[in-house]
Amino acid sequence: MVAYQAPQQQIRLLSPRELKNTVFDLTQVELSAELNFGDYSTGYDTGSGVKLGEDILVTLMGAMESVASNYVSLRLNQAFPCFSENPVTDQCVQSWIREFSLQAYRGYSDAELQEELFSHFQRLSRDTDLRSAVSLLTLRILLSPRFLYRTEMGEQQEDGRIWLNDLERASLVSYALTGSMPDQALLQDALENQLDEATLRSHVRRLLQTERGRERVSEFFQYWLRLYSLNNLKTDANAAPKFEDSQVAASLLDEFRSFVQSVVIDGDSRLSTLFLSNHTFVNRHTAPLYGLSSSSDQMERVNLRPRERQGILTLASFLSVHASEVEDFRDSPTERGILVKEQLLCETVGLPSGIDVDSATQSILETHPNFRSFTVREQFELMMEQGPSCVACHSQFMPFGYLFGNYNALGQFVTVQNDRPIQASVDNLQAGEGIRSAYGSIVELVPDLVRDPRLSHCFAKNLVRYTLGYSLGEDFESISWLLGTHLQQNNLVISSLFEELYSSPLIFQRRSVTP
Amino acid sequence: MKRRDFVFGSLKAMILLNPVLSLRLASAQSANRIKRAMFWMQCNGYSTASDFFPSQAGTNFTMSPILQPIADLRGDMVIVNGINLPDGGFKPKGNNHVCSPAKLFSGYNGVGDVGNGEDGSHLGPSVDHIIAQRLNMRTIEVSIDPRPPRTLRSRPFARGANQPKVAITEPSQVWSNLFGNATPPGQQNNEALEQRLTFLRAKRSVLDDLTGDLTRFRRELAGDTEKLKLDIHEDAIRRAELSVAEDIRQTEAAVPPPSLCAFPDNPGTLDTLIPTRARAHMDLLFAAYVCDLVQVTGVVWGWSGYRWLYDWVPGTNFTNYHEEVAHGNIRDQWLLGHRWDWSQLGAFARRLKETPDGSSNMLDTSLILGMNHFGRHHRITQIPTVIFGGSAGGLQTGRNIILPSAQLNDRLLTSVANYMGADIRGLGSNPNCGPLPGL
Repeated sequence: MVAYQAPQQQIRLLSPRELKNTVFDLTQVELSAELNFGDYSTGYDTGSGVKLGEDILVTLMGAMESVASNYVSLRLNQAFPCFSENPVTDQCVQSWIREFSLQAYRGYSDAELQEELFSHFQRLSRDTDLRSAVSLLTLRILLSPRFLYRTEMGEQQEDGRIWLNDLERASLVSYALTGSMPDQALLQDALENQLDEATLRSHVRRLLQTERGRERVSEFFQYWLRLYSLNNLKTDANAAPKFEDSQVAASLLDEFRSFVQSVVIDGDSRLSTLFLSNHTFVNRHTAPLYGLSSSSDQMERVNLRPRERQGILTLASFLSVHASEVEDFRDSPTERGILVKEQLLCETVGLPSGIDVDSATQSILETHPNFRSFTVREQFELMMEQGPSCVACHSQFMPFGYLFGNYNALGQFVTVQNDRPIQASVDNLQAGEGIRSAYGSIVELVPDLVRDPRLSHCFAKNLVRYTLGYSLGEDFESISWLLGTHLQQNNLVISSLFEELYSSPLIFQRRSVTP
Repeated sequence: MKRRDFVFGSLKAMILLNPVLSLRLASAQSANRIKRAMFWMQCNGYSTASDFFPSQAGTNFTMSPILQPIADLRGDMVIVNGINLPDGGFKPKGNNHVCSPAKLFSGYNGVGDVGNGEDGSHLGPSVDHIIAQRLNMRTIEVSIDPRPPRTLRSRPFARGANQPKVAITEPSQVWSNLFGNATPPGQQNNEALEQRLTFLRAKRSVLDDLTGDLTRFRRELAGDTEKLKLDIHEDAIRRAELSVAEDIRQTEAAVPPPSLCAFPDNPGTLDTLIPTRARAHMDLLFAAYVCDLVQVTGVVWGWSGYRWLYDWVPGTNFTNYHEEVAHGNIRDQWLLGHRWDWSQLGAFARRLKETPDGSSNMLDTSLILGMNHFGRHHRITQIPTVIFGGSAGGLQTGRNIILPSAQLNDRLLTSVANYMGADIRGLGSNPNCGPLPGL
């Protein structure tokens, strides 16, 4: 185990999702602009690596102008009834500034700042009417760095170490669990310096149950399993032409979210259940993918045949994303295999060799004219024969992918492809201790995978990466190891891991970025 | 001294002290110059080179099958045969699909490694940004496909390393950015001008105070890496301030807009049909050029590996443009798609040509660089390249240039920047590459 080294201090721009949530929670106005500046380099949607340049600022200015204007015209009187009085008093404006800035700045609003904001309001009022002045001041607050960035700078304490203060802790926990600013209860405890371990644990439990918490948790799992394109399937009817009925594709995100929430939030929350349970959720569009029928437009829980389906890796939503977007039969053993290797075992697969797949295919077609009538696995096995470098690299992960061979690109269980029987079994898996070399299918492998401590540690590592927003190699190893061990010692209960992580001092310690 | 006064004071002093900049600005004010540019990326390569490139060099050439629909523009274009993209650096997975768009207009040899093997990042600015910065021009980037541009496959433009300029997909958003805050011609009156001035001054006041907020925020930070983020943020605010200051100056001067300028209606929410969206985007860019609301534009026509059905083109019959047509090398179908793409760009050029600009026309005072990020199939050699317009900057049009030996795109882009008046010696991985011989 590596000695613990705290992650670096950082500021991070709110990601587009966080910004939209925060703006809505603050103003009750939707931020409807299209925002495209997320940093996905860690595999998670964060703002850590984003630099706010001119194009982002211009987009934000336009979007926030609209929010500020709608907020003042539609929400202000409701939230602050004193604005309905005539005349509106200075006290009313000051009370709005106090409350609004305190929430917007996640607690970082003192009397001096409020006085400065009021002074700005008075200057604006000289040239415009009161509501325009409030709108412009709202715009300033929504564009200010204190609103747009989360800080994790911390303060040096007597022990010489740097610890996040309570306001930073509240933001970290809240954005990780809800994707938005701290709510009233969490902010109040942070302002009163009450965020001890027990209080944090109770906030974690509470926030996980909120609507935003449920949504955020399933979002984390979506990123972990590289299923971000489920969102596109829901909103873009052309995202995956293989689905003749776009309603099927659009329902898959709901399946995934319902499944994750049913286990992590509403169920026993165990990682093992996530991987071993044979239930899912279907509506009338997706039921046929499982050989079922339904007349419901809503998602309904159903049990599936255990021999065919076991847990999250055999959901149609998972399987259809990790497959061809175009051809409904074509699964992707490469993508599925790499996912197991990289996201479930946290093992590195080398970079692609850059081989020209088209040329390779052309060359195979010359020797095997009936190449396209083979099963996907047979086609890949022939392709792998192109050279020793192909075999050396692909043998690391392809066997994992072949184990998924019985699931086509729609996520249906199939035994025949191109009129040829599918072979899903492998006998050459090289996955280290705890995993055998031979399995009949992914359903056979999953129980061993769940028992493998690498899965717990890899899960914990991803959770830490998601929480901190950057990958720093060894910085994560120790904390991930501790959390992975905690997960194993606590019956693989994920909600317990959330509590442990977001109340652990380790996640709140920082290392100075100055030499 | 107020910080804003300092910014303007500094700018004035810089102009006085920097003869090159003074010359550049003087040149920019001259009538005989290229006033605007468009960078247009088409996708997915071609079946065979003869489909795109005419076989005869010089001025007497027969149009290729793909360019045939725009044969009437022969005298207004330069076709360049022999441009390659640099083949090096980190390669994300997906053959050249991910990295070639990022190289296309930047001239960098490779892309940055973001650590997941799948995506990449720009290594530096693209030529559109360099031109806009040097000539103080306004820019906008649009994407015809409704799918949000999330990776380099649809992000050919960049402000700098790891700073993509993400193209806007929704025409209504393009309209808002270009026309939303501008005053339509013929609607000005003193009261409206006064209101606008009040709004702009208030906006400038907000930006001024944001700079103060940033300064306070900066004091709490440690470490250069994080301060760099705020430097970029502050620079963005300064640019926004300059832009607002320019708006104020123009409003104060109440300069009447050009007589041909007509503000289009907001296209609103459109369906996902490509021809509808393409037409809406190109109409908006045309109107913005005529009203001089933008000078440098980037158009992402599809995305690397895109799958449009082209079912609006008579004769097409396929379900997937990328896998079925391009990978399957169904030449006649491929041609149909490409002919439509280039005919749309040609139609835009034609509109410019039909629009007077002083004693000339808007095509002569514009430069459109249309390129595909691939050559044949997934190769990054013999890249389709056509320049439309540009004669006001001295570009000799009506030529098909067949380069005696292949040249990298950095030299082409350098030439384009120089025709625009940006005066650069090179860009991308080779800042001294020089211009393209013979162009």
